[in-house]
Amino acid sequence: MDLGPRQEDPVKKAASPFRFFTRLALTLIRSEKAHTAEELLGGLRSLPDGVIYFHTHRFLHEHQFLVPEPMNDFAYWAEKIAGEPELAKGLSGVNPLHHSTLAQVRSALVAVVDAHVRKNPGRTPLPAERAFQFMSARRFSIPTPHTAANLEEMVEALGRVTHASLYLHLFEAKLRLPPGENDFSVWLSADWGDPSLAEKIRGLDLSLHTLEEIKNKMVALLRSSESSHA
Amino acid sequence: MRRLEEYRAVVGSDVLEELQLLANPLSGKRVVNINSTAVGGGVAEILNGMIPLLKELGVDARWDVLKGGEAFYVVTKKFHNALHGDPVRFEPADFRVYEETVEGNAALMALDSDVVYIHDPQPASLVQKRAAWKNRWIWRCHIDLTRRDQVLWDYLRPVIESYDAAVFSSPAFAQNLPIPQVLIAPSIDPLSDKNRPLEDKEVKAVAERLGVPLDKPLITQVSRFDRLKDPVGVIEAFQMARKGTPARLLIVGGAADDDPEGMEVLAEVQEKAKGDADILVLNLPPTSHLEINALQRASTVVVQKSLREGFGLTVSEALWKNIPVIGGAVGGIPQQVLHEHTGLLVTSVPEAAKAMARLLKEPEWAKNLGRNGHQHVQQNFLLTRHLRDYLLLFHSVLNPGEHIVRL
Repeated sequence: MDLGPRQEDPVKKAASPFRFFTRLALTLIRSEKAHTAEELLGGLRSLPDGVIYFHTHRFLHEHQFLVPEPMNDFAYWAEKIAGEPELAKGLSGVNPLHHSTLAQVRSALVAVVDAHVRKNPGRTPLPAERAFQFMSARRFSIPTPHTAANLEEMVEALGRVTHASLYLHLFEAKLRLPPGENDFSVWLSADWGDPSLAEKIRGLDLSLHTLEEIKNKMVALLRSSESSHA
Repeated sequence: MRRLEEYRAVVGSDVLEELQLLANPLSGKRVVNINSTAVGGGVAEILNGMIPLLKELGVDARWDVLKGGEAFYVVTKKFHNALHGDPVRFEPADFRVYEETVEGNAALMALDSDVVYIHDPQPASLVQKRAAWKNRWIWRCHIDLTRRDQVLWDYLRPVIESYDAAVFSSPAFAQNLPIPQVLIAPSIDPLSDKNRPLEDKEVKAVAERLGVPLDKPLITQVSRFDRLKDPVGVIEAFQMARKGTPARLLIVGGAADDDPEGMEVLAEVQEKAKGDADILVLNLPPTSHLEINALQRASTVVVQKSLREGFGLTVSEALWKNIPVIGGAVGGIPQQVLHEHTGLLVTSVPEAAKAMARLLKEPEWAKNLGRNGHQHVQQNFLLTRHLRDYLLLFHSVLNPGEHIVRL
């Protein structure tokens, strides 16, 4: 029996494909150091945003394996090097992912250190080898060959790109997009036309998982969406 | 000579692809590395590994070696010692010999390359020739400058300030300079004999051959016999720590007959360990890479209780093998030992003793630290990360000014 030409579902394509970039950084050592909480406060108030960004985001991509313990360089220094557990507790409570601008992150850190300094004035300066070293980074944006025009291609690309690329699109994106958004949620909503899936991606708690775990959760969500629309 | 492809199984295809993406815009760019020795020493080892890999990625990398007479090497040895903090007296003739030798080498070097990458102080003053070319110059300091001699630094400082960037291995070594100071940590080669995977039976065979029983948890320090590595302090810490917790200490290092101080320290260590059946001291030849690999893998805890340290790559070697490390909080060790995450940082013998006892009594926690340590090295201290930083550095000096460099 001739059934005639097979009717295939038109393959859905995004309005424009998702283009993966990667972000790499070269660490720069600044001349400023903090031997006391007062000096740390001075640095937090006056140094450029890039310094705040470096010390609050570094653990997120360099030390992913340390999560779920939320950590930033300031808190690590206060607890492990300076021996100031109370200050460390306050600083580790400043989760950069809960703020949408670096100015907000800076204000939150300043408030913690300022309160500590008022409560504990005139502490003895730490020796040079235990001082906090302020740093920043020169950042590089690089297009990768990976693109995705549909969910299947997105799953495939997620399996190929580096953690640095995921970090760029998930974490760093938060500082240039409206609160709660990341590059994937924006693309899924605006270009792929699935606001419900975008909402699920937005709902992933980035501070509770490693990048590898987040990637696996994203893949599961994308696959589940694919099969429900099949 | 290894090819990048050999690293795929260890670092992943994504990392190799990233290196190629970074290298593509540098294709054909001429980068000359200049140092003062072709064989021996850490810098030669790094360049021997890096140059072929940079070439494989399409960068026109080359390596020139400064040539000097005996007088020049006497002076540069004085430079080296003074930068490490030893008391050294300089005469005007020293600086004259240095400048004349470097000047004499200038014509023999590819100083017209797109990037001139100078390693350590010996060839540093070549930068005074840079006006002839519109290229970029980088000074790479492999030395711990925390106790540098002020007279020498006052001489070198204006020279260093003529570079586009200075590179250090640890934030602690950076100086107050008006040029960008870049942090690039050294790295380990996961495929070398010192770090490649070994089977349990190989580890056991080496331990047996060297007379190291594995019936008790093993605490090991690997380092040359040098007082700055504090081997005697490690023994004292062990003697305090093992009360109530069975363990064995292994101090393994190298001391050559032509190194009188090393032989002296070895004798001190042997004397301190005398009569204690749980303390073993091994003096191995410098080529014992496989043996060191096996002994690190056989250990429950590795110690690097240095009093001063350059970077201390033995720490990364141990962490790579999932072994937690107790490290002195000096030089580059705090970059590798994240306190209570990949090991424990200590500043005294009692602290080291407490750290040993803690890791022996909490083996599961110790294993967790070791696992974290492996991840930390995977992300931050492998050869491929080092190569990536080199490429980023070249991009950085070739694209000055922009906050984010778009490649």
